[in-house]
Amino acid sequence: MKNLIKIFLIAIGFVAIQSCDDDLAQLPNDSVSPDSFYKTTLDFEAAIRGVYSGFLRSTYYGGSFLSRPDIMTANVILAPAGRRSNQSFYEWRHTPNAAWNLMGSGYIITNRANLILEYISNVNDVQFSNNIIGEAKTARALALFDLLRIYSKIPTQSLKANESLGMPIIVEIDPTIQKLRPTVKESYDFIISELEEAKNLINEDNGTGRFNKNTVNALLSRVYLYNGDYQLSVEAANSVSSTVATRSNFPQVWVDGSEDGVIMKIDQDRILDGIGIGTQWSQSVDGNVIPEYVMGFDLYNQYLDTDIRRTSYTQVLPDSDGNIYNAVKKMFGEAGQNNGVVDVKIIRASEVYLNKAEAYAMLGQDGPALTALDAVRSNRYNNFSSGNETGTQLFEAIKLERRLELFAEGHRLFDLKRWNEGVTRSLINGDFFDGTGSAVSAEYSSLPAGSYIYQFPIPQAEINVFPEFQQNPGYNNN
Amino acid sequence: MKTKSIGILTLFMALVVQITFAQERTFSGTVSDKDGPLPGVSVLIRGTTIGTETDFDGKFSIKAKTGDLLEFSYVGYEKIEKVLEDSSNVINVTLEEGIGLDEIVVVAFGKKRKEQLTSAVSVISSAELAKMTPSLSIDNMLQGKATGVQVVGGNGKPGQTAFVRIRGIGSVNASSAPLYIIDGLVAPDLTNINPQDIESMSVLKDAATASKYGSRAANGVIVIKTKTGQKNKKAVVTISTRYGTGRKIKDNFKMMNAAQKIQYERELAALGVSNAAALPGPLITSDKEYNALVAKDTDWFDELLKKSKIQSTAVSIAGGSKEIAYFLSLGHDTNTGIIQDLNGFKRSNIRMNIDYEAKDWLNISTNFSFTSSKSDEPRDRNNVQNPFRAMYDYNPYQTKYMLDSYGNAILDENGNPEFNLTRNGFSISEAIINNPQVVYTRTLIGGLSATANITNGFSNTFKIGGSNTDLRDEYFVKPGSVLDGYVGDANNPGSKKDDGSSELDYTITNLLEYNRVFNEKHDVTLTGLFEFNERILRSYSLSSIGFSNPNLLVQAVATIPVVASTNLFTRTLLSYGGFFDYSYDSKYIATASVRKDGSSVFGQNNRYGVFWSASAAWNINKEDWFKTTFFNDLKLRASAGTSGNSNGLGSYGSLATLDFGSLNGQSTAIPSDNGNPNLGFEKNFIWDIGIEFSTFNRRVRGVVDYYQRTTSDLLLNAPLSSLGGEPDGSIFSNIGEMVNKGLEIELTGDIIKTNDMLLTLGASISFVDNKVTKLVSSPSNEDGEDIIVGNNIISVGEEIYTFYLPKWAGVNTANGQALFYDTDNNVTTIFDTNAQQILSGKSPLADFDGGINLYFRYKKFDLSTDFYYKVGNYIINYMENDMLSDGQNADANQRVDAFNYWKNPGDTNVLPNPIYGNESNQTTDRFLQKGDYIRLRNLTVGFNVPLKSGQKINSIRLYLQGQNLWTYAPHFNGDPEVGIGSGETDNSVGFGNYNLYSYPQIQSLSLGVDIKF
Repeated sequence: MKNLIKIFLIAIGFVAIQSCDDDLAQLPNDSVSPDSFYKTTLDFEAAIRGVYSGFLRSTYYGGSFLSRPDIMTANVILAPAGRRSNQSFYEWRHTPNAAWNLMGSGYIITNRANLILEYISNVNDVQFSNNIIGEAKTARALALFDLLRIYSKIPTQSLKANESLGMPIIVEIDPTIQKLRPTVKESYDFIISELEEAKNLINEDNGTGRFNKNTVNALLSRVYLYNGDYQLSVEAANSVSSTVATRSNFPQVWVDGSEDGVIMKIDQDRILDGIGIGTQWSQSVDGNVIPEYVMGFDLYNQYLDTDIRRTSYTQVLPDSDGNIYNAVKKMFGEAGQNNGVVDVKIIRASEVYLNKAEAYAMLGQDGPALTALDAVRSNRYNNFSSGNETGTQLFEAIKLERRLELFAEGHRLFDLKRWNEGVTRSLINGDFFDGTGSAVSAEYSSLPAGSYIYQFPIPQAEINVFPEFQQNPGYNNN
Repeated sequence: MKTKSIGILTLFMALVVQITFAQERTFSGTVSDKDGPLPGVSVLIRGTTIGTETDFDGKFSIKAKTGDLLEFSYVGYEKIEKVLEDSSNVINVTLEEGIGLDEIVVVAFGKKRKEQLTSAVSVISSAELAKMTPSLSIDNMLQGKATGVQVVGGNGKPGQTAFVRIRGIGSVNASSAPLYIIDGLVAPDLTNINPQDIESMSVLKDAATASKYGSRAANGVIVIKTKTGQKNKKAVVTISTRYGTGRKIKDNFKMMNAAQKIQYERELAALGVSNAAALPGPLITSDKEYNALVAKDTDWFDELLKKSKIQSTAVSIAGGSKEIAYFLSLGHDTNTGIIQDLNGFKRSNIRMNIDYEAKDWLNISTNFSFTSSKSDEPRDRNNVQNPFRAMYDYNPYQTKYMLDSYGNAILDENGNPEFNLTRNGFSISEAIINNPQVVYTRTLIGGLSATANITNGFSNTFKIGGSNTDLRDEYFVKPGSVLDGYVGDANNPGSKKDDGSSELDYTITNLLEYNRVFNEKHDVTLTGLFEFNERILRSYSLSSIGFSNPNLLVQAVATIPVVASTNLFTRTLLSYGGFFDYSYDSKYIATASVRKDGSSVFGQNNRYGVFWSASAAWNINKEDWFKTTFFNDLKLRASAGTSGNSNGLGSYGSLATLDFGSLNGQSTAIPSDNGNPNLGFEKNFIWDIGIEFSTFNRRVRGVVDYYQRTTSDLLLNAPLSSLGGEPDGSIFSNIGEMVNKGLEIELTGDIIKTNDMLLTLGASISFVDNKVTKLVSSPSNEDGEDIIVGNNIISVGEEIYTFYLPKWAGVNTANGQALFYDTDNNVTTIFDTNAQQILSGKSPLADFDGGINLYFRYKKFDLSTDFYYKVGNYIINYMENDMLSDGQNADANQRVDAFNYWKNPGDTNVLPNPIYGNESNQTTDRFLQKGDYIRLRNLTVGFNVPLKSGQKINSIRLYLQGQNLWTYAPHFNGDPEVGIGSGETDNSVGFGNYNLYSYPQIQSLSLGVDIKF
């Protein structure tokens, strides 16, 4: 009897520990298997928003892409009182081991778009899928275009730029894929054909924060300009319906109080997303700044008193030691905020007009070029009267206006690059608001036109895993 | 599974039926030593788990059969065995004192006599524990106590756990921390156990015992047994109380005072150092101004720190009746810490341990403990919010409060003194008050175990138990606080964050054991194991902004909820095992084990791991021919085996996943990982040979061990080209390999041993040598690509985390310019961040460490001292880099020796000329310093108050104790015991690689009294 009880107890023990291999198959509660996704229109809506969120990564439009192209030029000057972020780029000391890695973000966006394009046939609604295809293709093309701006030459930059190294076109879904770099021409051809295709698929209106037909045309005006297809650039610009932001609306654009003239921006919620893109330039509290980079004194002086941009783009603020700066105000925050959180502007109507002006000028059509230029200038200066420039003067005026208008939006370095111009920084003027303070040291004051530095190095980590992948000329491996 | 268990049951029935019972009767007697009856002596029927203990009067009684062998054992005494005969039911024995190989040692799934051990186990007995420094966390007490166990204090924050590493570093991406087992249950860490409740600790270092824990044992196991009562013993109440005070250990350098700092600023400005130009020093225009600044002379250590108050009280009651033994305890600890205006750490715990002999064949035991703690958390990051950075940074000519021209504090509209924002634009004193963070923890650990002695030899133990840890972390940035101005939302001032988690970790274990002695010599034990473990972690994170009242800190009053998130993670572990233990006349001992573990963490292709071990030992002193020789005890042993590691890994790393997030308030879907279905356990193979001996009548005792530990299939991120768009850029795979080798020596000698006096000196040393042997290979590097981890590197052929820094070449004696080495080792004046070199032999890992312990007892007085030493590790002294900044941090206070900069051609042994500060103040090996040190961890003087016999009080002990009273660090400026460098800074190296203003280590003095009645 006693033994029976014991055996019974042990039997209970064994029953209690009944457990099977099934218990070893645990699934996450905060994610799903990709195989079970990409089925419904809601899935694709979420997936395409995932593509847009990719642009907000910190190496891309969520940070570096808006700052480094200006930091590397004379547009801004480093304020030693700050944290010296991005100093190696400011001083053109980037190397393969300390490179700007945009490849990660660029190809992650490409992968997100590719997954959508692969599975969109699961949806029967043709209009819905065409629109999604258009968006995905535009995103993929923009990512490739931005990779090219950083790592490759621009077709108009030099004679044989088109035959130099472009960036791989990835349309496959394969995490282990390895592809060598095609030519710049092949890369640009792909971007143009994709955007042209997207133009015919995408909706006229997708609401703010998403690509639409207008956006694609606007981007095409830029890509064609970079590619030297000036007539096509003009045509694409002419297809854009947006107008330049008015002078009165203009300051509101930068605190997200107005969308006037903004063709494409990626909306972020100040509180929920909170990506402080403005902290690339400074942090601030109680009317003080901790500046990283402030507007260069020479550039500051190019903004006339009548130019609405001087007060929209800069503000005079002291740091905690009482030193005063022309701090960057663009991206300072929404009205009343100082956290640097604002929507990311991808392309604005004024750029399209300036693209058009430059394209016309390149085609030798000074009249329409001046009209396009004045469409911008008349909305920036108080009591504007046209300079009626022609020829070289007109071309210089377009370049100046482009520099003044697109300050701190990730353009300056690429514009210098495609014009094949160098960077010259003042050896005299410092970081303080009146041009005093610390000036740049002589070794970092001049970057010659055509320098290899304009093509950023491929990160060494990419070469390590794929040794055949071509490094840009000028960078010693190791 | 089902068929398997039915099979086992059938086997049982067959066995049970065949066995008949011999007649049992009751034997009783008294156990004594030379001084009289001895309570608490273990009385065990050899080869069974049936046993009892002597009561308060040294008496015992036990049911047994003629021919059974009774074992009498007690810590510190020689074991005695008596064969039961028909002739008498009364057994009286006298035990002889002696410290030998007879201790009972807690090991995996049970206990063993030390003599029967075949593997390297370091034991900290209750006697030793009683002599040790009481501390909030037992792991800190282990330092220097067990060979092969390196303990590095995390930092000096009250309640902080230590980093414990057994026989080297065992992983890169998984955990390297040991497995903690308390009363047979896996415990999360050691913060939640009251050290006073611990009876003994065993550190299982090699495969022979640790492998029984299979896939969780790769980094060694620390097994803790808490106290139990004794059956048939009257209740003993113990009250222990201690009161003390602590302070920051004094630095071995000096900061500038106000006059010195002003002079320094003036010197720098005169040299033309641009960032000194606008500082107060050079701007002084009159003697009056100068005198006013110098007069302030604030000692920021005094302003920001305080002396801590340490209080500890524990009450326990232990005893037992015929069938029940119990131990109940209650403890309360407070340690205010050394930061002004913070309350530090508070902890309360309760414990209940009960053993119940329900039937003569059925024993039930339960252990339950509940711990509740509250900790004020200062910011531990390298910025203005850290008080331990502020105390060095703040200038002595500045003050805590804003002062008017008469030197009186300026009051705000509420009549409170207004804080001075200092040159940092921040007042740490204000932040400590207005940005409080508090962490609350509640831990319940408990389990129930039932052992049934089925028949002679067969017993089965069923055990269920686990731990539940609740964590709550509240962080309030009060509206109107300075920090809110920087990081807050101007429209919605103030923010509150409530993060928390609840983790349930339970295990069901069944152990079926068969033990039999054949021919009186062959003692065989076979054990079958089944175990199932599940861990369920639920977490939440809630944040709101917009608080109108700084005193209301619940989120119910906030205007906008910002973050509302919950998550759930589950992981399971399923194990089967078989263990074999054999002893021939206690002379030749052998063990073997095999265990198969499956983990949900790993890929479906590679989820199971099989782990084995084998070991043997030879008690040479038991050989007949040995009797005459020099040694009293001499044992040789060897073991080898494998174990696994999955701790610290993500729960779902093997799976392809797609995550959801939001953009501008709308849902986003993002592929997050491609997974790796081949993900499997990291594997550990360790072999060990050891010798244990005693001589001179066991007055000299020693243990020597040599081991080699190979960790393979290390999980590493194999990077991919970015082109494929893999979300995290790599595939997590079983790739790497490294080897730890070590030698451990422990020697103890009773130099004086008389009835009145005992002087014992002990010393230990543990060498460990780590070498990385395989990493992720690439087309250009087959052995494996280096993994750069900040300023450290994992490189094949080198010690893990060897420093990887640009090299400093000194100061040009001609002009005071800083010099560096470029990658080709040419001296240059241009600093290049890319000129890092592998600094072979310099890593945060020590070459050896150990303890020196002295214990002296004379009549009622005792004295114990514990030294800990560590040699051969390197630390980047970032704090020195800031305090000797060559003028770069001229706006912060500097060390006095910052004056010692280059002034004239030919100056040597000087800092660079501050005019070149921008180039010289870089992260190089300039501030990489050897961390060697020896420290007096503990000095205790005790006195046992003489009591007349027959009084109600059994004993009263008074003691005075000092911790960290003395340190010698020949090469390091600052405290050399560096664990956490900076608590809120990610540190993939783990610990000990740099110092960066974490909570400093504490020196303390306390007075305690223990009363038993």
